[in-house]
Amino acid sequence: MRLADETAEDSALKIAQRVTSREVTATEVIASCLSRIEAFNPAVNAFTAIYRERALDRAIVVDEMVQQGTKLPLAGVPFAVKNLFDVAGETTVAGSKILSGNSASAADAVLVQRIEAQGGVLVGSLNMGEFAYDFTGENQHYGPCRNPWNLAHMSGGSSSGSGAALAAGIVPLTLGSDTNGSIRVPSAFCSVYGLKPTYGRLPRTGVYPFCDSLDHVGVMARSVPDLAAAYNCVQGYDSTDHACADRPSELVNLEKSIGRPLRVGLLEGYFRPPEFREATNLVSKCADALVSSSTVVEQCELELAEAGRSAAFLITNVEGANLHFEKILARAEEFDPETRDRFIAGNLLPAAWYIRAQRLRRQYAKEAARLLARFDILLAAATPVRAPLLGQKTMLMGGDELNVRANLGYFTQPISCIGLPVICSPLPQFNQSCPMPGLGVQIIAAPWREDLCFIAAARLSEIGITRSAVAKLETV
Amino acid sequence: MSLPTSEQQSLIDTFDTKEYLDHVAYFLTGPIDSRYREGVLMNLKTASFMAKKVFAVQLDQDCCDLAGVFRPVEADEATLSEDF
Repeated sequence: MRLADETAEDSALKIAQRVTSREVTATEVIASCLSRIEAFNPAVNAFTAIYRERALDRAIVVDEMVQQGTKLPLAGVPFAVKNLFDVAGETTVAGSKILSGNSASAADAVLVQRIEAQGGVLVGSLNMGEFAYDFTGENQHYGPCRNPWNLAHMSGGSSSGSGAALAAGIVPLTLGSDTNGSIRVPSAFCSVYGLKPTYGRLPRTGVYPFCDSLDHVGVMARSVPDLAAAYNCVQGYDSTDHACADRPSELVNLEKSIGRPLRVGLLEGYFRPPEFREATNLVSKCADALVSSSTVVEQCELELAEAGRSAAFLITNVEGANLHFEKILARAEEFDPETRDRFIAGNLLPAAWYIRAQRLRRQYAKEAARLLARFDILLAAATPVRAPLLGQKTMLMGGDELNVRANLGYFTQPISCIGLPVICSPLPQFNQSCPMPGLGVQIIAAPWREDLCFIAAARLSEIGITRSAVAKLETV
Repeated sequence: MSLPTSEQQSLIDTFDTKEYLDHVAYFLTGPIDSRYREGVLMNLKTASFMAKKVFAVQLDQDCCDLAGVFRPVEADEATLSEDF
C-alpha cells in the first residue's frame, strides 16, 4: 500500500505559509507527520524517539498563536533533532547505550528552543553514530540508519537520522552536528542540503559534546530557502557555550543577493586526488555551471590541507577519547566496537602530538584566510564515493583497496578543522544506470560569510545542477 | 624551534605501536584487554601516520598559539604582518 500524504513533500516554508493562511492547521500537519514516522521509520530507522504527545500539544499552541495573529516564520513545521540535542524530560543518549541510564534533561537545547519559538514543532530525536564518532550511520545499539534511496546502503553519519528523515519525506527540517563532516557526509549520501556554519556561530548549549575544539551544530533541509529560514531562526549569541562568538545575528536574505558577482575557487591538489575522480569531476561541472559574466572561476590550492586533516584526526581522537576516559576504562564492553578502540587509542596519544596539531591548525587557518582573500567561495567534493553498502569495510578506488570509514571524511575534515562555513549541496546522479545518489559539493566561504555560501548554493540550485527530492518508500 | 630535528623526525618515522602500547598503556589506562588490542593497535598506527604528517610541516618561528578557544582567521588578520 502506498501511503498518500499531500504534505510529505512540502517544503518547510510551504507548510508555514499554509498554516499561517489557515489552509491547514498545525495539528493536521503534525498528525500527518506522525503517521509518516509510523509508516516509514521501521524501514529507514531514522528516529530513536518519537514525541507524539509533546508534538500534538505544541501544535495546538501554534494553532492558537496563528489565530491570534502571531507571526511565526516556521508555523507548524515539524522538525527533528539528532539525539545528542537535549530534549526536556528525555534522556540524551548521543547514540550510546551508556548514557541511556542517565536522568532526563531539564531543558531543551538552545537551538531546539529557538526553532520552537518560531513555530516549529519537535516530533522526535534521530539516530546517529555513537558519540558522533562516525561517518557511516551504523550503530550497534540502535541499529543502522538506512539510506531511503536504497535501504541496503549507508545513510552517512554521524547525523544519519537527520539526513535520512529528510530524504524519506518524514520532516522538512532537521538539526545535526558536524565535527569532521557529520552534517556534510549524510547530506551528500541522502541527497539533501546541510549547513555547517562558522565555528562559534551557533551555540552548542544543551548538545552532548564530542570534540570541543571542532564541534559545530547546524541545520539540514531539502531546499536552500528552507535551509536559510532555519539558519535565520537559530542564530544568536549564548554565553553558556564558551566557544560561541558574541556577534549579532546576520540573517540571510536570498532575494537580495540575486545577481551578486562571485569569485569562485575550484580547489585542486589535495582536493582532486585521482582515486575519487567521479566526485571531483562533478564538482568541476558545478564550477563550469557558475561561470557567467558576473562569476569568475579559477583553480586554486589550499596549502596544508593534508596536514590539516591529520591535525583534525589527532585533535578529535584525543579530545573525544578524554571525554570518555573513565567510562572507557570501566565499561568498555558497552561501547560500539567501532568507537571503543578509537577511544582507548586516543587516551594514549602523546601530548606532543596533540599540541603540535593545535599549533598547525592555527597556521593552516592563516593559509585558508589568504586564499579566501582572493575568492568569495571555494568548491570541493563532499564525499569521495557514493553511499557504500551497510557493513562495507573497504572500497576499491583507482585500483587500491581503501578503508571506508577512514576515507569518508577525506574532503570534509580539512575544512571543519579550521571552522570555515560550508553548505553541502546534493549532486543528483548524472548516470541513469547508477543506482545511488550520494555525492555532494562543499560550498566553502571565509569565516562569518555564510551569506556567500547561500548565494552560491541558491545559484547552483536555480541552474538545476544541485537538487534534493524525496525518496519513494513503500509501506507494507 | 620550527622544524623537527632529524632525530625527532626519525623517532616519528619508526614509531613502534606495539612497544608504545605495551609500555604506555600500563601507566595510563592499565593493560589493554586482549579482545581490543588489535583494534587499538590499528588506531594507534593510523594516529602515528597522521602525526607524521603534522610534524612534517615547518611551523612559523614564534608560533606558540594553541588556538585554545579557536576562532577562524579572517582575511584581514592573515594579511597583517605576522604577529604571533
